[in-house]
Amino acid sequence: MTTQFRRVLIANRGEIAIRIIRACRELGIESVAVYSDADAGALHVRMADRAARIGPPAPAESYLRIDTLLEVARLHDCDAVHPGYGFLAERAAFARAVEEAGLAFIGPRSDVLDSLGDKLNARRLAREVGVAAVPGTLSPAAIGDPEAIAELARVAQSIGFPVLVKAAAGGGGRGMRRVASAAELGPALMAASAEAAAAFGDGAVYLEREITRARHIEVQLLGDAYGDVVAIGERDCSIQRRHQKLVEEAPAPGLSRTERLAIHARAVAVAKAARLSNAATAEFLFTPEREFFFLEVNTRLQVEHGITELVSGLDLVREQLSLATGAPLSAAVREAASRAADPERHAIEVRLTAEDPGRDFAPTPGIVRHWVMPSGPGVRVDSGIEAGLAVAPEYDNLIAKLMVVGADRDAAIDRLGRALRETEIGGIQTTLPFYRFVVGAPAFRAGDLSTDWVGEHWDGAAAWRSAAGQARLAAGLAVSGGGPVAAATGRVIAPAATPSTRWRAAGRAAAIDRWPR
Amino acid sequence: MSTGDPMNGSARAVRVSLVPGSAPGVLDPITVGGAADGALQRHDAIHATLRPGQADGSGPGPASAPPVAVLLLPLLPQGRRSPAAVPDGAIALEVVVDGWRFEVLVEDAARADLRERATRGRVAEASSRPAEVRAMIPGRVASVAAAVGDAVEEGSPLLVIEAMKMQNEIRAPRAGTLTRVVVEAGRNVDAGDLLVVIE
Repeated sequence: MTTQFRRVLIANRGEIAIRIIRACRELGIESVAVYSDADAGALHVRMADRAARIGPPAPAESYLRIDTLLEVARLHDCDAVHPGYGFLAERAAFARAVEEAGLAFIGPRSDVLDSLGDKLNARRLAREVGVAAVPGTLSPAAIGDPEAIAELARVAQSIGFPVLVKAAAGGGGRGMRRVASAAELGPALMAASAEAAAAFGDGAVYLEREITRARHIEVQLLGDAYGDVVAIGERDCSIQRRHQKLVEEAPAPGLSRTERLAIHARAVAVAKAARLSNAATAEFLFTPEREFFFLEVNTRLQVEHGITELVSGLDLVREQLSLATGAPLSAAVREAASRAADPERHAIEVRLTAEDPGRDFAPTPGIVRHWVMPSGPGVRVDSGIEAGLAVAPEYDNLIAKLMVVGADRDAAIDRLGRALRETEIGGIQTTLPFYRFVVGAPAFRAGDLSTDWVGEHWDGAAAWRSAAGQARLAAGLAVSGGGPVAAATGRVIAPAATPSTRWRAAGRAAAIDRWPR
Repeated sequence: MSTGDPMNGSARAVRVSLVPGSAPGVLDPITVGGAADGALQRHDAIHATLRPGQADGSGPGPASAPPVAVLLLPLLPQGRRSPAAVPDGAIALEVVVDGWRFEVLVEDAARADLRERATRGRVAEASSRPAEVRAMIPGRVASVAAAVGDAVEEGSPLLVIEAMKMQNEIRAPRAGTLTRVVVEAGRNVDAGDLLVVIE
């Protein structure tokens, strides 16, 4: 039996840092948080056993500084590093530096990050083990050479337009272009390659057929250092905007047991071919013709890992901490894997983000003034926010992950509706109204999902206009003496009457000033 | 908390408008309450608008039309964009309806009428005054597409602000000539910071 870690450096911030601190504390492992100047008073800093400042707010000068993070790990005598997701989580150079410093990297080994981080390489691996990837090319596309581009246009023709130009090192929709005809191919290759080079330091791009009305389905994987890999069920993450997920659920609705077993087996085959260890996720597209196409493997804990935990009963971070010591897959993991195709619960997550769903999900950083999160049976909220905290423009706009679990999908949707009704956020616009819409949308209830869902169903401007009318009326009635507004429908935090004197105005201003900032 | 503290002790008509610049859409102000609008009517109006499906007296509405969740908060400044334009006697509120956030000004309707009459003459003049383009969100200026002296059309791209890993294009609110460009690429800006001036 391997011994567990003594002290873990958490090279991240926000809700995922808190998630990891919680797992460490339950295991009796000490946690060391890091923070930039923007996060000095943040929740993850206060919750950890120790904390270290790593630089100014800009990620490149703080959370992305490999040298600084390793220095903190050394100073605090850590024996392992958990990267969370985002930032350095999938950066092979970081994993390698951690390994070379004699510490454990809580994630797949650096050579696996190298191998799967190159999406072209992952596509080739899938082909080697007989797993169908999205139709497309398998080597880097030539950029700027007219003859090579003419040849590539013929390949694109055989794949079938429209095609997507994607970055080999990419993710999150960066370095991606949609190409509808051969004439657009040359410029799109140049633009995507330049964007990829700027974002990832690697300009290699490739072609993939665009599959419309597909669903995004992914498989949670856990592997040990001895080559054993198992699937812990799948998630449907089809509801997206800008290729980023908004709603996730586990299991994927409407799959037969045979289909579940098939996608789990394919994910495990690709992972074993890559000699994967620790936690990762294999992503697939599921077409309307019920075909699975492999997309890529994300070599980290996913944002949406919590819904798999709610369905499987596992604590994935705890398993990560165990696997990283060199322990084999635990009995609990094997048991959960054996039940992965027969889920007995249904879980849904919505990502509350600082974005305006009425303005095409434009970012809305600012200070959260009011913050009430739901609770009660079957509800889990992972968040690093509290009232008075600023959502900084430097970082990801995720402010809370609201998860629910129920006996089946209908029960989970009903519970999500109830939980969203309890949610109150003031100070910044969030995606809350969008999720209220999703919960009530017949297409969602029917499980009619695709990656085009938001564009096909959501009219943010109309929803905003309707709410604006109600907002004006509610404010007017509250001030003009319509006390029933509060009694019938809402909550009034501020005294709404006009201050009649300057004394009262000054008193009110002073009271407001006492709000935490 | 008490909400039934009406202006001057009785239900009075109030004018409700969105704080200028606080929302992408423009909505005309509405007048709520007043002598013609009795207490009973007012109560019905609340229910008709805020509790769809229950106003006609047919009992509880269908599950698909739950009551609207309303939250009223004091409107506090965000960044450097503060509700400075609160007219004397008006109050500024943040209203959150079903998760949608609005910044509104509420003032006595009679007083609002007087003020509007006084300022009406200035509206025409305002359209020829310089337009200041300010940052709606804090972030980093990724690129500047225009320079002093450039003629711009309404909707012309001016600059790009990067926030939360996203590029947000700022466009000209009206046609004119750029007389000032206050920021350069790489600069961090706060909400409300002046970016360019169009004349």
